[in-house]
Amino acid sequence: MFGFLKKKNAPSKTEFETLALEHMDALYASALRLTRSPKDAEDLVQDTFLKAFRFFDSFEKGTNIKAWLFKILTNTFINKYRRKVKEKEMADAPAEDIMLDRFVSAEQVRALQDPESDFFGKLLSDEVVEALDQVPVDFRMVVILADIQDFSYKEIAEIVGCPVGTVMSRLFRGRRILQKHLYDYAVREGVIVPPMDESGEPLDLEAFRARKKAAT
Amino acid sequence: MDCRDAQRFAQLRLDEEIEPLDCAQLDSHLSACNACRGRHEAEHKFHLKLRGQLRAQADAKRSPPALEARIAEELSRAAVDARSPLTRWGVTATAALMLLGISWSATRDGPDVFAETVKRHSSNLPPEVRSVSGPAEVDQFLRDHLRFPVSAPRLDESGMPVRLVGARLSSIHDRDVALMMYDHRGAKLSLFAYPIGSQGPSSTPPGFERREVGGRVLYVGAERGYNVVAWERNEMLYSLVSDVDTGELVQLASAVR
Repeated sequence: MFGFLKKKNAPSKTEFETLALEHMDALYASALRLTRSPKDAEDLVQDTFLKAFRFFDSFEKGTNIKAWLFKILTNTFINKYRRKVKEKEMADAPAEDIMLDRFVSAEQVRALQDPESDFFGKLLSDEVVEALDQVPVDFRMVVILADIQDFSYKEIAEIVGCPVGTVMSRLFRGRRILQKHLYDYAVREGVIVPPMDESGEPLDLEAFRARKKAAT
Repeated sequence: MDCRDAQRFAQLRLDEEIEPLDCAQLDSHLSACNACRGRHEAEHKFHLKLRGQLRAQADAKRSPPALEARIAEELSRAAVDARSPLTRWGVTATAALMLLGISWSATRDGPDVFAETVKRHSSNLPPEVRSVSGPAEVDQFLRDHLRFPVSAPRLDESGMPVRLVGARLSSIHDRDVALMMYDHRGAKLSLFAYPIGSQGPSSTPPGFERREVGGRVLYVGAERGYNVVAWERNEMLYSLVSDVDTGELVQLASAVR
């Protein structure tokens, strides 16, 4: 029934370990940011290495093994964990306002860059990571691959399986959302004072829209 | 170049993906547009600092020692499984075929049939027909395009939350194969089906385990990190491939009617 099931040459464990294991920390750090769960991150990395070892004969020696490993990690994440992460995101987070992201971003960036606030100096690395964890997973994935793992647009497109244009737009959007979360955090912590209107009330998009509508 | 383009190209420059000509045009715009220049400088500095923070945090994060130990153990186990026991015992390929009760004249499928199904499963190809209003559309598509009678098994009859997504035509070793795609709690399942004729009782493939569940003989194993459950029915071979736990795949396979 099954015909002649000839096994290919068994993959060399030593060769695999030499090439692949040095990327375990990078894979784990990214898995943690994707799943937001240490247990799921460990399972994801374990699944990734096992799959990578079993597919090792299909890896073209001399090419970028880190990108190849991240492709397996991303595919495994999408197949096994992404739905769980997305469901939790929808339960936890309010809907993002696209226009709000764009409207306030110039002010946010200037305020965040103000040397007097020394925002980054006061920011703990865990707080930066918490802000990243709030970015929706499809955008977060691309930000992780570009800004943390330093892959090129083309490599990211191959890893996540989408066109380069989609990578660019997700990266742009993901960074904007991350920026907004950091700005909101800075305002909450009193590091930044948001711009005020004439009456001393904080400016916000809803107020701006209401005033504009009343004026027309 | 207008301000909107400048913003787009500024991101390309931040990521060192900008072409020289576009870079020159961006610089020309920034030298003339105060608003864009101020924004670009602020954003560039901000992102470089943010990137530095994110990378420092990631570099400080080490994988747990227990995870490394588990992976080392799994790799050792996988390395042992990958070596054919027949090769270890020094049996020749022809003798191995004879031991499995397969002769060359009966050989039709060619090598690595499960590896081929796993490759197709992991390649994320889209369905050619979607089950929008029900499985009837998928069954009709398969009837219209294949020379052998096949319909999409109703895996949801197992009582498990499995949804038929669609199907596509595939080919393994120049043989037409029906590939039916399912979703099980967000995980992808691929079910391959093709005719094998009546060849009498089958032998268990190397590395697989033979189980009898609910009156059906199943062949259970793993290939390249994916779980595979195969069975025969009405002179067809079915092969179910997924990341999903083997126990659940066995449950699905045993419930198919």
